[in-house]
Amino acid sequence: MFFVNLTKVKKRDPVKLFICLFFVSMSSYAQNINWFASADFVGEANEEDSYNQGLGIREFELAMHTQVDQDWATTMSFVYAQDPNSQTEVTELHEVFIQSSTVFSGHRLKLGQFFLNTGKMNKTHRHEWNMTSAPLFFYKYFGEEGVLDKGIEYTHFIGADANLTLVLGLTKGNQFAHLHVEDEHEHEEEGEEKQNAMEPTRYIRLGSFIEHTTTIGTEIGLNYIGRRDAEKTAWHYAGIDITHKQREAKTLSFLFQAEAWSRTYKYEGFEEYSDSGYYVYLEKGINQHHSLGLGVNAFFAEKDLDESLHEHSGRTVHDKYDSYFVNYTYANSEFLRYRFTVEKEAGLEVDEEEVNNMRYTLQMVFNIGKHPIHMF
Amino acid sequence: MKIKLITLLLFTTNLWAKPNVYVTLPEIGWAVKEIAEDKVDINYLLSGHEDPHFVDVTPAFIFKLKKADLLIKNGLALESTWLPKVIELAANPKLKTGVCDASSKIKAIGKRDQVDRSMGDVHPQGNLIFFTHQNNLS
Repeated sequence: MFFVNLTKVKKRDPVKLFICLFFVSMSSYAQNINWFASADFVGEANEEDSYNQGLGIREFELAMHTQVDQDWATTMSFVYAQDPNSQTEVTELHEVFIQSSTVFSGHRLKLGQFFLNTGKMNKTHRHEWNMTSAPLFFYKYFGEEGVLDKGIEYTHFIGADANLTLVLGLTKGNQFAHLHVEDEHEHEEEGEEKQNAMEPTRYIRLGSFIEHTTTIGTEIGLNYIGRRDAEKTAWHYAGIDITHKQREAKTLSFLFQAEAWSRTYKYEGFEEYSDSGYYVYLEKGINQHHSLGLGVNAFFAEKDLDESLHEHSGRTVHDKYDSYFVNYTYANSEFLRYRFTVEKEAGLEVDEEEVNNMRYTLQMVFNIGKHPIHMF
Repeated sequence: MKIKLITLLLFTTNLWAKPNVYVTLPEIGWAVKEIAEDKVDINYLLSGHEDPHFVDVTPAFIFKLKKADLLIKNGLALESTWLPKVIELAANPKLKTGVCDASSKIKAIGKRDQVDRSMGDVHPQGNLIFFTHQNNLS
């Protein structure tokens, strides 16, 4: 079922597979349920041997969206993912939430488990990103795909000339950076609940959209996230995101996308540390099929003390990391695209030595079902 | 379309202000102008130089539709990749009943019972470009 090798299915996975079977069995006679499935294959090769090498189904997502009643709509999705290195497989519920724009007369309310509406990449599903992989700082801060948590999110469309939008959110906080690669410690804790956070995650985003024409627009967002995890470490994140898009008929003729984030964290009993990172990405669409991208991303720290995600990314940074990448995307149609990326990374640390790395990735993404919505 | 338009205008607006009619395409705006003359304010979501199928959902559209008393769309799935989401996010109670589909009485040519993506990104409801002759609007 869905490429899952049943000999590798873990103890708790039958529940997830049941959910999957349930959704699919319903599909033939369910009314007014919009179905969407996407597959994201990624092959990766690195000059540095200890990093990921290989090809895997990075993500297969099956999602459904429908009205629950006259006020609430729901989105549910589950994901199957494969680690290209270890071939470990994970099947999990992804987003499960209800949302309404009518309960509070024009303001959107979202309840459940969802990706937080902060920044640009975090609120966009990974298979829709214009880059293949998350920049290193994003990975360290928010995980390979972004922050996924359970809670409540309120969006206020303030309006005015600047098209202001305010997002306020409060989530449980016992999960933050979302990873599909299983945590080694998870096996030991199987069946146990993750420890509750000391404080819930709270976040705010103020976005402004400038409409130059109906096909040219710029969005700027200011973001803040605060939390205190189960180990009593207090984390504060502040970031800005800018997106500028130009469309010409079917072609995304120009894209500028950038995010810069800074965070401070304080382990209990220690002094406060801070680090920061950014990415800038430019894309030029030649026509509806071909586009070229160019990007840079960097991470700065006094010392890379946050080791919580090292074992997943395989990347440790000494104090300064930067990377430059170019990519070429071929879109066979709106529903299938291939992307090849070459990335040069500098400032990595392997066996306590600083190394540079060349990374080559080939991605294939396709989807079936409901026509994807074109979000700015 | 004429009767539906007048009915919707009467029930969705107060009598002292000109109703805010939003249209997706300029051609629809022209038709509304011919019917309603200066009794309504006509506002356009698109200006005519876009491919109406490849438009992004932006906050600007959302804020425009928040002010709408009536929305008239082309229909036949021309705006299906963005307009439903804009309407949902605008959450304008007037648009619960105030969305007029200009194609509702059109007998579209090229209608297909079954489509799949091997045919390309085709529209099962038929040829959606019907504003080529004013008789189509009568």
